[in-house]
Amino acid sequence: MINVRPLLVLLVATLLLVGCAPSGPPMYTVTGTVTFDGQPVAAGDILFRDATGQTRSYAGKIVNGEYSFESSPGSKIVEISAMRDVPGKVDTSNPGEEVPLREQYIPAVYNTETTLTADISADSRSADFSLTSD
Amino acid sequence: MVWSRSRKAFTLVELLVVIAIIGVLVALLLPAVQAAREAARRAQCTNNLKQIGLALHNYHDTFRRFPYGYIETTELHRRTTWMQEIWPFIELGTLYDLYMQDTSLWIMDVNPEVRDAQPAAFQCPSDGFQPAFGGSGGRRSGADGFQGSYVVCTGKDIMYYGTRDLGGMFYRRSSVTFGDIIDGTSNTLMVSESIVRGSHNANSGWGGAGGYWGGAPHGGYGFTTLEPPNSPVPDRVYQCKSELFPRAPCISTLNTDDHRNFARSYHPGGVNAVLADGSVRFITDTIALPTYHALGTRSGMEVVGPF
Repeated sequence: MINVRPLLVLLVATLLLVGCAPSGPPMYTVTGTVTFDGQPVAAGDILFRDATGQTRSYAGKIVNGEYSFESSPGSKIVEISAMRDVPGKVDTSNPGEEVPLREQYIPAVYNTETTLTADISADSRSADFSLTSD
Repeated sequence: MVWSRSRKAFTLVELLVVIAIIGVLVALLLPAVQAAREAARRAQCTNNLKQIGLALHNYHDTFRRFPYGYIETTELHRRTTWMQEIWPFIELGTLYDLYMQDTSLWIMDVNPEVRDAQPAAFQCPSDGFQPAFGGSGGRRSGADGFQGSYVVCTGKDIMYYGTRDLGGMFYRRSSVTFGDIIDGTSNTLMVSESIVRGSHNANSGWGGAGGYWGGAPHGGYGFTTLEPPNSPVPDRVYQCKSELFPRAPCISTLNTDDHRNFARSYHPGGVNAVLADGSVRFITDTIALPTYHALGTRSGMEVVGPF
């Protein structure tokens, strides 16, 4: 006589789990630190662009030199940017309004013409970046 | 024998089984009903885009070109956008007449009655914050300025401020005709949607998507296909209404170049968009990036994959 109880339990478990498969590529929480000339970047933005150009990019905020955001795995091109006020200068592009002018202070080799890369996989979910001004 | 006599009532077990079955069916049905509500809102949003697409076609039939994305060097209504231009073609002719009677130099100072009008045709019902104000600076000359849901396609690159051709259907001082759409009208995006980031004009943001009343040079008139719909990559505009809005991150640049707005929506899995042929398609978040780039340009000569 076959014991049917384990089979029944399996059947119920299968039915309960139907539709629970993850959809799309796996996503990993990527973390790391960003310093500029040895100092943590107080506030900025970090972006992971797919090196093959086939899929979407992922991005997160840098707060007190640390970042943490969801990204798909793969070979990534990294862009880091941060803004600061330009002392004593104002922007007047809107008539009747003056706002403090801001500028990007991270060099272009780290954002618009970036050379930074990162490889994200199940075993590698962290990347630290030490940027310098020259 | 039990089964031979005529029965007058259900047994308790039968009743419980029936209740259990009904319970399971209701549990299956209820979430589906809620999904149907969103499906209805999405259908309304699709209809709005269809009307805007038809209005742009009728504009082309009248003027032999599509309207500009925006324009800033006129003697009247500086920073006026495509949105005001198609009013006469979307049954807002009376509002347009009122607008044209106004002689303000800057669009931010136009008659408050016109600027605060919130035409339903430019609001996506899935965005719970519609009808909205904002994206065009703080309260000025007695009005906040309507912020809409729909934005025109500028191309596949950063939305540069200068008068250069951005490669899409609409940009600063653009004057595209059907003849310029070499990629084919079925392979070129015309209008899509975005998120307004709140109903109120609280932080006097400049350039959030849908800011038609002065935010255009800062990005408010359009979107770029640089990143797929609903991207986790932040928009970049002159001054964000909110930098950490759910599903719509944003970075304030406080300078006039380097803007980008991406197509965004509250529809599950993608955005609606109208192509240059007038058809409305649902573009999924997972669209292949080269395909989406190809859709953004009007004469990029790319081979467009299925989407």
